[in-house]
Order: sequence, then structure tokens, then C-alpha cells
Amino acid sequence: MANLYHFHLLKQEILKSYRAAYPFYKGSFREFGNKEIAQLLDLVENDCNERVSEKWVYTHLKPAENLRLPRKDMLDIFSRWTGYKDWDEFVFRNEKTGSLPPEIKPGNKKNYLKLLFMGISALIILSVFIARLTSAGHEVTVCFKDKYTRKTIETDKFSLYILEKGHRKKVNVGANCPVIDTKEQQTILLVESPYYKADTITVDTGVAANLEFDLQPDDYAMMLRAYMNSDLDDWNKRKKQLEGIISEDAVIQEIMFDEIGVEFLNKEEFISKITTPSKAVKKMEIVEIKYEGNKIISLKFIQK
Amino acid sequence: MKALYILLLLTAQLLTAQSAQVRTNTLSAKAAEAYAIKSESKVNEFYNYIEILSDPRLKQDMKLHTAKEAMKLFQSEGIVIPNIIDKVHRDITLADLLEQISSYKNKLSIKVNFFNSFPETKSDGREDWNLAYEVEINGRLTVTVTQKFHIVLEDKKFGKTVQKVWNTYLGEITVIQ
Repeated sequence: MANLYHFHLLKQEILKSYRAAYPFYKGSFREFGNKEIAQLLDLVENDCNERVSEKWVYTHLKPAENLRLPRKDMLDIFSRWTGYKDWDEFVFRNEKTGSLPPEIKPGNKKNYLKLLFMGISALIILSVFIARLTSAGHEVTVCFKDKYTRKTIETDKFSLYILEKGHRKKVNVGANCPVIDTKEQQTILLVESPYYKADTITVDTGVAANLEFDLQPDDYAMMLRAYMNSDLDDWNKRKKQLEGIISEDAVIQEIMFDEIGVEFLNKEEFISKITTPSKAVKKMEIVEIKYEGNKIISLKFIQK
Repeated sequence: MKALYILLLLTAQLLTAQSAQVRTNTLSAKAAEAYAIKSESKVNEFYNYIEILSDPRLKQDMKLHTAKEAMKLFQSEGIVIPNIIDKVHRDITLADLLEQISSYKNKLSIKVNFFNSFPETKSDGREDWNLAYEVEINGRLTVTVTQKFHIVLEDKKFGKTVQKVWNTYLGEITVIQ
């Protein structure tokens, strides 16, 4: 139990070290997306020369509560990364100071004030929310889920538009499920994503509601994404699979701001690149994919 | 009169075609900005391939595959570069350097610091740049180098079609200190 407490402390140290490199990140591990995980893993790899798997982050860092302690060698890596010799030193040093993290320190006067402030803030937010609900407009929260995994799709993986009289208006999506604020009784939404098939949805916006929609994954895009983010065990097999899904005439582009193409690859070059276990491949993120028949004819990617 | 009109039309068309070619055969300021970022990622890609090749756990076939990818970053496969991993920086062909690194017993850790890129010469369909950066090897040895970077407008085959695209290549390396 005491070790779980120390692991909780270590998680805070890891987040602190991550924020030292990416000061704009204000969230916690719970909100960690693919981008943040890749950045964290690269930082650890660069500093400690050790590659940690994405799965490990999902299993041990993302949950708010941990039921068991991760493997000692992993604890050693992260202890080293946060400035300690190893996990034993981390535990020893934190026992010596006996300091508890501020948010769980019992009887802390500051915490009462913090709680009071949080309570008042919550009341204000609730009042504003109720006031908005009773006003003329209606807020409809729309969450998109992967049809097969049933997991909520991260907002950076899709674009959402409201279709109005032949025009499309982009909806700004934040970190959570997007909120449609409209006085219309019905709204037509268009959702586009490089990883999911585009879909048009008619939403009854006459009353406030929380809605969920399933998106059909684009199998080939998902396959490419999986290849980009994993270690290559059987690369010859993967090469053959990629050959089957990419057209001979495909044009693959690395793009930057303003969609400027900075690298143009043909099918053979792209397959060769993507089957190499490099950092550049792990940083690839597909932004557009087009098909001719059932094969990829055009693909655009960026470096995250 | 009709002949004169056709001649004028042809001349106008020729001039338009030439100016269009000039427009497409040079990089815009925005594109140059993007290629400056690309030059840095290409250099990082090269040193990452060296790190991968030095990993003794990597299978031989993957080493060969990685070495081929590293070679593709350069315009000339026979290029001779100083061996920056070696303390005396002896000149070596790129192919020999990659082969040598493939037999390392300990994986290298390489970082590229203080990266700068400067356009040097510009001609129709080609730009040659100079890159300057520091290479940090295993957190101990640091070498400051300059390197050529070429941006070339070339015909490229995409299956049955051929398109004119800008390709980028790394070039000669010179050790400064």
C-alpha cells in the first residue's frame, strides 16, 4: 500500500517533468492523448535510452487510481527520468521528507480554502449552466464512439461541421465531446476523419441532450496508424499487407503548414519508410486519405 | 494580318508559359520556411537511423533495410563523409560508415543541437542550402559540423504516372570542431 502511495507521488513527478518540456499542457494523465503519450515516450527514450510502450502508459499512468504496482524495472526508468538513481532511492527520499502530495494532505488549512473556492466555483458554473438551459438556445453534447471498440474518439481525430443551406460551418471541438449550441429544432452535422468514414447525422436539437454516435473505422487508415505506432516484429509480413492496400499509382505526401508538401513518396518508398523502426515513423499522423476502388491512391501525413 | 495575329498570340502564350514555369520552378518564401523545418527533420532522421543501426539487438535483415533507408537520404550513395562517431573524424564512404555502425556492441544515443539552415545558391529548379549543427554522441562527445542540403525539382514516378516534385537530399558533411 505504501508503495502505491509512492507510485502516486512518482506519477506527479513524471507529469511535472513532462510539463517542463511541454509547459502548455495543463491537463492531467487522464486527459493524455496519443500526442502527449508519444511526446512523453520520446522524452524518456531520449533521456534514458529506454523505450516504454504506449500500453504501459495506458495501464499505469492514465488511470486515476492504481490497484497494483508496475514492474520494478519500469519504476526504475521513470525514477531515473525524474532525477533519482532508481525506484529505491525515490521511495527512500520521499520517506525521509515524509511529505504527502498537497491534494491528499489531511487537515491542511489551505485545502479547506481550496475546497471552499472549488465549491463556490462549482455553484457558479452550475447556476450558469441552469440559466443557459432555461434560455431560448439548447446545448446538445455529441460524443462519437468507435463502432467496434466502443471507445470515445478523441476530438483531435475528427472535424465536425454544421451543414446550413449548402454551406458547412466548422464546430470548434475542445478536449471533450463537442457541444452544439443552436436555436434550431434540427441540425445536420457532418463528421470527417482520416481514421473514420465520413458521416452525416441529423440531430434533434429542440431539447438539450447528450447524444452518442458510432463512427465506422477506416480499416486501412487504422492499420497504417497501428504500424506507425508499434514495434516491427514481422516487418516482411507487414510489407506484404501494405502492398495489398496501396495503389501502384499512389502519391504519399508529408505536408506542413498551409498544406505545403515537403516530401513526396511513391508506394515503394512509403512502404520502405513505414517498415523501418524510426522515430520519424512513430511521429507520423495521417491527415487525409483518399481511395480509388478499394486501394489508397493519395495519403497526406504530418510529423506530430 | 491573320498571320501577324497568330504570331502575337503564340508569343503571348510562350511568355505566359515561361513565366508559369519560373513560378513553379522556384520555392515560395512559405515553402522555403517549410523546407527549413524539413532539413532539420531529415538530419534527425539520418542520426536516428545511425542509432537504430548501432542497436545490437536489431536483426540483421532489419539492419540492412535501415541502412538502405539511410542511404536514400543522400543524393549520392557513394558520398564520402567524415566519420563523426570516430574521434579523429577519418573520411569514409557512407556505405562503409553504416556497415561499421551495424556491428557496434553498444547502442549509440545521438542528439542534434543548435540547428541552423541557410539558403546558399538558387537556380532554376534547384536550391542548395548549408546546414550547421552540433551532434552530441552518448551525452559526452560533441562535434560541430556543416552539411549541404539540396532541394531539387525532379520527375518522379508514381506507378504509371510521372510528376514533377521537389525532392530533398542531404549532402557532404564538414567537421568544424
